[in-house]
Amino acid sequence: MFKPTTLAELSAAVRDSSGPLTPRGAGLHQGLGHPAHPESTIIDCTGLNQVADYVASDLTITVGAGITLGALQDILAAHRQWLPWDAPQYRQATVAGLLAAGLSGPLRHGAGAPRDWLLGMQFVIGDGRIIKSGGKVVKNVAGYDLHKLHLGALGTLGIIGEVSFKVAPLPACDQTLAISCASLAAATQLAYALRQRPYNPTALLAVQHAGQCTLWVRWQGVEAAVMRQIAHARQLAPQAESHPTSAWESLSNEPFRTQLRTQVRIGLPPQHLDTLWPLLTHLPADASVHLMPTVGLARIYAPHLPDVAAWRTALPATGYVVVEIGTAADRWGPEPAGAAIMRQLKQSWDPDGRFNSGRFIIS
Amino acid sequence: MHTTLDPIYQQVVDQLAHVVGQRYVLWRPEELMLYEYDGSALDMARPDIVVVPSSTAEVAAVVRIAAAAGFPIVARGGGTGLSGGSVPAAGGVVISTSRMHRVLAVDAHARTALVQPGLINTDLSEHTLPWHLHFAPDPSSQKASTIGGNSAENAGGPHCLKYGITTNHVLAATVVLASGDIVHLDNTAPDRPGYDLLGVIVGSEGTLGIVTELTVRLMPNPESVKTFLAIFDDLDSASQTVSAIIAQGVIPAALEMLEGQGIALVEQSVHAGYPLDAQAVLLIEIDGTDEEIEDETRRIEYICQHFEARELRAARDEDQRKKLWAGRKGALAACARLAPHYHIQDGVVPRSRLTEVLQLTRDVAKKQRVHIVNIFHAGDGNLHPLLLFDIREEGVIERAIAASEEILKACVDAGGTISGEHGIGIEKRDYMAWLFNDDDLWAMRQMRACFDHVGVMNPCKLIPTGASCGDIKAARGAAKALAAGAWI
Repeated sequence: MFKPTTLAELSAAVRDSSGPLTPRGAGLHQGLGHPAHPESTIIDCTGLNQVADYVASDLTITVGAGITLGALQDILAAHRQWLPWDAPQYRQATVAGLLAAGLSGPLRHGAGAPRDWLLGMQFVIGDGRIIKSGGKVVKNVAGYDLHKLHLGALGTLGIIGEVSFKVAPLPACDQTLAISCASLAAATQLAYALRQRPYNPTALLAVQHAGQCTLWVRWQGVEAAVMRQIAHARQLAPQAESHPTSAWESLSNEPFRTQLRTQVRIGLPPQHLDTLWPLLTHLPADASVHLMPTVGLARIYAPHLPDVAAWRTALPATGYVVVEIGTAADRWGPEPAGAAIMRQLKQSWDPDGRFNSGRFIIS
Repeated sequence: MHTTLDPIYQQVVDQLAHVVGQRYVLWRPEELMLYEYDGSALDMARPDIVVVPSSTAEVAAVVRIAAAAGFPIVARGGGTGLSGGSVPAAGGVVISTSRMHRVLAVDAHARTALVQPGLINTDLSEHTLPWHLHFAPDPSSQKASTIGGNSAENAGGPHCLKYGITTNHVLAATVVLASGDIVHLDNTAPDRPGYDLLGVIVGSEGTLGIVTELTVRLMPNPESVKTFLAIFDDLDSASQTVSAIIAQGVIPAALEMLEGQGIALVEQSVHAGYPLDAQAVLLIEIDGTDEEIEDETRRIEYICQHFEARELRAARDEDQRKKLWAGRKGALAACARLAPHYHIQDGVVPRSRLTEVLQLTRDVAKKQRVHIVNIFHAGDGNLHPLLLFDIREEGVIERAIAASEEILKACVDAGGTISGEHGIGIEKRDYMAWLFNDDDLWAMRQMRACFDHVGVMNPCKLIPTGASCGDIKAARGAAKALAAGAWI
């Protein structure tokens, strides 16, 4: 195992070693994808946790990618700023790990994905060279956005060493309502009603568990604007209940509180969500569904793997089903468009297939 | 360049005409001349053939024919680019998207639109007005530039301060590759497994393929918009006001600055009500709900007062608002009063370094004896020094280029970058080494080769290349007369 504390050490660890390598942050998502090569050497990236550059008045920060998202948020919060990225288990999870696993949270509705906040990156490729793309300023079109290729790539194209983000001021007011709904379809309909112009919640999450369905809604910003939207929401849904902001953290961590058995991710263009309802009505009672209705992203946590092959057939070709945790012959489903280009890219940057080879859809 | 048709060239013209129709293949020198430049002033090159296809299938067929004949292939939208992106640096076939200009579908529920690349930027927002939706990227060229071009250059605009640049608004693209194969890269289903190829296509300046259809995000029109003009007697106070507004947590929809002699020039041309003797003016636009407007107005008033703005004026109605913006968006043309030729720079600095870099541009202007007017996106630290000169003056082009390089280098030294929204193209290709080392550029070249291993797609752009593109810089010097139709 290697535990570099600088980019140069990370580079040396890759350059001076041979054989398969598995980059690891907090190790929370090592179960994603196919298992790593059994003889793989771990590169523990949690030592890459320094703040390289932070000028609060510029609203940008550059950090070692092994920093936990929680530590990063604490640094920003001291200056009344934050990164609107509410990934699950964010206190333990590292920034690089979350980026490689492609994880975001319900704030994605209003704030976008981490991709929209990422300004630049330094990463290490198969021969140990450090590659830089993007930059540290909020606007930059110099060169290709190579950093975007690493998002959700499970560390297969390189090891993320350092990242720059733009950040935002902390909102003055932050309010949350939980609204009990008859079904995911009803929750989705309500979600769309709540984001009717000019209203704009920042987070929307529908949760179905043990026969109950709840739409969680968050508004942030100027107090008067938030209160006006809360009043509108209560009009539409008198059953709405206020919750503290901390509810979001519990919600996103809930599925991980016990040993996870299976986890399936479904992505669909939001206008095709209707095709999802028939699939989800037959889930066992102890399964839970977390759905971002306006984003078109769902995760299903269940004791046994659902019939994903049937789901893939039932859903339109614009969507996909991935088995994130669980034993399945076909975890990833059909290859994406451009797979040939993706394979060449993997071949170019990691010609010996050292980084997590075999784990991802592209191998 | 072919002035008479040799047999091989004739054969290619015939093949292309067979695909798109004779009318849409241009090869006569007088036709090709129109396609030898873009909105940038310093680079020109004539294509061998221009083709104007009408569909993805036609583009694919054109690419196959052109690539088989060994012609470089360059896509062209509105031709308003400012870094030579659509200039056929090594000659070849220019594919104009001007016939592919339709909105194919609007999904008001999902807030997306499916469009062809030749659609004019503002035409999309006009089309979606009945649904109270708009396309957020708003480069100042938006009345003439196309969504395909915006995507290729990853264009910005005043409102990207709050709403992000083009890459944040493109959800899917159909791309014709160098092989003539068509690939549909689709992020409308979020987090699809695979590498985010769409993320590198946007901003790739036509070097990876030709985008023939795009799905873009639409944003709801805000409930209210308020536009202020803040007038300052010195540049420092204006810069500090910009930093303070951002640092205080107000993210305006747009935060623009005009400084120095540019103010009077714009006022004489547009009559927007800018005081002729002001040293700097800020155009501050906020949008959102009525409550947000009220809160942000209070905070902006406080900050402007604190930094001793001479006056803070709010547009009373839509007419006045448009007038204030007309001053900003028509600024480049207005500066024609000062000198007949121009070169626009596009550098970015961390917002906290604005004052010192602005001061440096003034010093450089003095040293190199050119006029420099700064009209720019202050809120995101995106400078657009506009260098004005008269090419009849001996040595002035060399001095302008030297001034331009010195300013850009200062942006890089301050922790910024060489382009915020205009792209690298030909103009800044050789400056990429200021930001990226050989390994970084190698990784970019490798990535490019995965899409196009022969290198037919817009060669000699974006990444420093070998000797075959070396003559482009030598061809510089043909700066054009300032036209009324250029924007920054």
